[in-house]
Amino acid sequence: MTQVGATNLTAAQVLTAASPSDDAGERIRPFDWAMTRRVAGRMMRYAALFWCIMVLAVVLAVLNGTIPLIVAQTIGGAIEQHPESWRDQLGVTPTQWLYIGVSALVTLAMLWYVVMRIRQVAVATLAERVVRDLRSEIFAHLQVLGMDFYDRTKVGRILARGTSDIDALRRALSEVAPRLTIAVVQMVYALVVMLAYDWVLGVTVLIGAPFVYLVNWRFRQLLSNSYRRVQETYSLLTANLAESIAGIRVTQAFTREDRNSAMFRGICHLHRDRHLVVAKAQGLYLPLMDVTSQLFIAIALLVGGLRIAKGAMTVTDLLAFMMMTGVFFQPILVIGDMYNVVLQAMAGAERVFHLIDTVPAQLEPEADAVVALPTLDEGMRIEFENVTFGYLKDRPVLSDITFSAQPGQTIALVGHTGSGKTSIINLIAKFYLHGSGRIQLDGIDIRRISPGDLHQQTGIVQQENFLFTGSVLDNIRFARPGASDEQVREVCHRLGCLDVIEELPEGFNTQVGERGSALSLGQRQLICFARALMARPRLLILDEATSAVDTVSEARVQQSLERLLEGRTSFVVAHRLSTIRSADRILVIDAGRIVEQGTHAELLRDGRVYPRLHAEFVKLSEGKG
Amino acid sequence: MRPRLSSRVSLFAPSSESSSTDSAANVANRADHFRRLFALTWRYRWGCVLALVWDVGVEALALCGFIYSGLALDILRHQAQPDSVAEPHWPLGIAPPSDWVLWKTLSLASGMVLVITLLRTYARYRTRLTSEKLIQRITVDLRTALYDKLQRLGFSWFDTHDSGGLINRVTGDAGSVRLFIEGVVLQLIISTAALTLFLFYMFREHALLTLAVLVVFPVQAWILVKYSRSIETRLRRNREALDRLIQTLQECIIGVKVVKGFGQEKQVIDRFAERNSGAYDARMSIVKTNSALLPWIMTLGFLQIAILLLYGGHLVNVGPAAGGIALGTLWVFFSLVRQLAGQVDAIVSSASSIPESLVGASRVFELLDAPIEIAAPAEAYSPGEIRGRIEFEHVSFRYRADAPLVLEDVSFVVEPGEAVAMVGPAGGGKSTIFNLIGRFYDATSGRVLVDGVDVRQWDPAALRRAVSIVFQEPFLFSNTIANNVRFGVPDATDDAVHRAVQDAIAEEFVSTSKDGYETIIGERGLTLSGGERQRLSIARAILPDAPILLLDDAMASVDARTEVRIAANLDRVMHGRTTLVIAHRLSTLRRADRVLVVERGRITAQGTHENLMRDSEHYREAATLQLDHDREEESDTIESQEAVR
Repeated sequence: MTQVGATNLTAAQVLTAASPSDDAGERIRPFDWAMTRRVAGRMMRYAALFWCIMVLAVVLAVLNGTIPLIVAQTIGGAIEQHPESWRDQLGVTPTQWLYIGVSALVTLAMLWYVVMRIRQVAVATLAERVVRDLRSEIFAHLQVLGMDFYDRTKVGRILARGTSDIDALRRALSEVAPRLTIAVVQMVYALVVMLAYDWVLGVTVLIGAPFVYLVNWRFRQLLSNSYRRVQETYSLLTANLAESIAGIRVTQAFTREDRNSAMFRGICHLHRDRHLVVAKAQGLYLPLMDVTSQLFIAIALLVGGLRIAKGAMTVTDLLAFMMMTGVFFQPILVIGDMYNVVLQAMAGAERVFHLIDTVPAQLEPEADAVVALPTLDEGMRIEFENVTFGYLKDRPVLSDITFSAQPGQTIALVGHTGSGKTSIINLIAKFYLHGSGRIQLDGIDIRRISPGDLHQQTGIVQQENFLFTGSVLDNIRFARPGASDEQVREVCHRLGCLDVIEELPEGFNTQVGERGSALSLGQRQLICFARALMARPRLLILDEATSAVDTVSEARVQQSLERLLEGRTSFVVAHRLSTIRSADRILVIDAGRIVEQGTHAELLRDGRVYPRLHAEFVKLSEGKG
Repeated sequence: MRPRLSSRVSLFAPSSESSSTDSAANVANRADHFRRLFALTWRYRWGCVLALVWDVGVEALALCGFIYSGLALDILRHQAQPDSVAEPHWPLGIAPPSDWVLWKTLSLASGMVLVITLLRTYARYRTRLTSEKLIQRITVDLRTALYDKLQRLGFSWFDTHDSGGLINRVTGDAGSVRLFIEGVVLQLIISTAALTLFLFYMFREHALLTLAVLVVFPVQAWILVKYSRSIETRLRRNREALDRLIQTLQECIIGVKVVKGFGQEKQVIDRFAERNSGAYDARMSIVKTNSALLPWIMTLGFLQIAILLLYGGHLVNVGPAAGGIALGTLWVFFSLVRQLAGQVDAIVSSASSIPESLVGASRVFELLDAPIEIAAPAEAYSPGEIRGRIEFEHVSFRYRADAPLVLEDVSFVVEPGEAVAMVGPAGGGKSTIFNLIGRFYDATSGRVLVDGVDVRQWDPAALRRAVSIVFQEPFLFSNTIANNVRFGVPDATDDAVHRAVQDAIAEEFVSTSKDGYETIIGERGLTLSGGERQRLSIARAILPDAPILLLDDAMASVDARTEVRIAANLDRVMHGRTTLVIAHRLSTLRRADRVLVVERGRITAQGTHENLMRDSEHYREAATLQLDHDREEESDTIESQEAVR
């Protein structure tokens, strides 16, 4: 029987046996020095701030230890009549002593407030700056990475690097170093004070301390193990839930509702049982910490009491001692917490740095080999000679592609989904580097052209008509950020779509909504055309959208498209018959090869494959109309 | 020149005008949710009472512990200064014999501290377990109820609800309902009980000192209220800033081709930097509020101690005999003040979680209340033997009330044992006909009959067992191959599974997989091509041996030669049974007994393939234009390439 993860369920007892990997990835990773050093390096850009935080941490720890001491001294001094007590030696009355003690306490409390306030701001400033720097670094690196990275990485996964992973890091950055410093200083301080008050009692606590730490450590391990097991069943639960919803049609078609419900109940019960294991451990752990501190108080009372009877110490000393026990043991819980924060940050840091370390595909030519593209008024000349290409080494997607496009020509690419049209486009735009063969742009080998240089002369229109959230104006200007409002209007006028945009609710200031959702498909297309024209491209790449019934008439889109294509070399992944018919040359692509090429008339007359494809298009266009 | 069109600062920033308006209906709704939540809590009343009893025990024991350690202090003090300090007062008057020596009385007092601590540990352990059991019971009950409901809702419900939100209802929203019972109802009762207990003791010991100490709490509460008001807008701004940041990040990932294609990497980097520092500023504004107000809570705690010291110290000096208190009592006060602060914190945080749990609750109730559209009639038809006759009587259908008709006055009959193929352009209504036969939707008008009985009279389960479907989208679960194939018949023998897989011509790739039939498929397991997935879903549909088989374009990604082999097997397996096939290949049409041409929601022609080819020019044209003739190997190679990418 196939077992599901680390559970006692078999695959037959669940719907989803393998939880699909989620975008967040592993939650914790073991401690790693190299990773810590890299994160610390980013923190050390703000070294002054860092050391300031550490100094404040020490001050705070001392304050944390001193305040209980003052409390004990005040109360003890006020009530005790002891010839050797400080109060009697100073000749202060009990009431005066109370006033002095309370004033000291209030002063320290105010000091504590000031230190705490500065510390919080300082800690957050440091953490947020490092986070901001890392985010910018991630984003800048994302711009350098090539299309190969985007094709193989899910959007959600990239997003998680800039969000949840960074958040895990943020916690560690803002908490670990300062809080550990406070914890350690506080413990040392408490220990020194306790030993100073009474070394016998002090040593007693010191002997007990390792035991407390051991118990704490053991429980932490136990807890984190059982937490992990809860996490496992939880992902099993959500994975089953997700597939149940995705596969609801299959479930109902095969009437599996009852059985699925029973399965899900089984998983819920397993999850509950594991929760109860955690609860049992927690239910013992937290009170146990309490028991130890009470135990030390009981010991202190007994041992201290006998020493008081002997005259070795006073009630005040004992009171102070009992308070310092609290100061000494309280950091234990903090240290345990920090451990978990560190492990989570490790997981986040590893993924963030993995992204930053991803080497981009080598698309940029060597500095001495680079040749600048000429800036001409006419379109680009493009030649493919026996070009082969594959996204993976041993899986060719294109083979033996040869064609040429003269300046100003419109080339239509025709073929079934997956035949390789997009791959040809990817090569022309140098999103990928081809395998064997030769590609020349304006007679220059594409390997010697910088992608940035090429893209400055390229306009691109995608099938999905992608728009950024923002106004119409912002989107058109995207292609040339320096353009004036007048230039934007001029471009729209040239396309003949100025009226369409001005008729929008707020004209050029209309918000397009997320990915252009506030606009109709036709409106989005026109804006994408305008954006492409804005770039003043010599090379135009257009993945044509299939037509749709729309407020913008088909004829309008067609007319704008014709104007867009004018005077530039254009590659169109064609979905409209009119575009295909008016193309200067048609490349018929099938299974990664050009099976036929020529004009519409030639291919219709002499072609073998094209007439059938054409008929299919005719039918589709009619069906849609 | 017209006014400046847009400012650079607002570039690509969405104009956010999200404001929650509290209408009267909303308030009534909220009251209703409250009622239902309390009704739900009432179902778990005994669990709540048990948790409450244990917890009050914990608090009472804590108080006792403090009293005994305070007593020990008093004993010591009396020992050191027998003249000026009064005899210690043992609680409840249960004191050791007066001739006991110091170490004995002291051991007794510290022993009591230990014993009480141990008892308290046990009580805390029980509290934790009791409340966890309660929480888990509620969670499991809610989750299974929600899941069960989800399993039974109709397709049309799923058409209008996105799956991400649904998952959250069973996980997150169910959690917030639990939070209401555990965090709000239970915690409020417990905290109130603890507060009452502590305050009762304190007032009895010294009312004025108690009042003096309590003064601080209203001030702290006032600061917290002030804090939560000023932080709210900052939190919202921070969330918006973060949303904008994520949006920019996401858009630049999705629109990477636009960015690269126009060579605008620099522009988006600048924009992201702007968003990034916006997020930084928003975050720092929260930190500034936090650091200005929150440390006051702790500082006020210190001031509370100062009051306790000043006034309490004075009272200790006065001594219990003259209206003051003993040192031990001061110690108890000192310890109780810390406990009180904890309880006040708990009340504040549980009160602040009410809005969140109400929102979650409303989503849970909405799902639980959703009507099940495809319900079984009172006297459901569930025959022992099914012949497999299908009849459509003037059926019209639309998916939503405001959507156009997808089927318009469709009538046809499929006789038992007949093999009928449907052909026509995408979106013509073929898949909809399948959905109506299985009664996944109800016809808008007209009747769908199976074996002469309206499908609405049938027991839905019996009907769906009679109909086996291969969907266009071959959905498989991330489970073993064998479990996927036996999905419809969980008790099917291995032999039956193997046979079904063989008939679907899937055995070859199954047996070459790592663990054979036990191989887990899906993202974490074996990645299958589209054709392989389709073959497994065919095997899954054959296994139940249903009298009616519906194949919705089930072999689109299977290469032509394999399709012929599968078809031959289907002919054998489905002999004497009714088959309806949505076809995209000529060979399928040739094999069918009869062909229905479905276009724009109507049946425009029907007859055998030969007859239609001869008589209908329209059919001839459609057949030659739409159907693939020779895409043999191609589809499969492309599939596998896509699977790899």
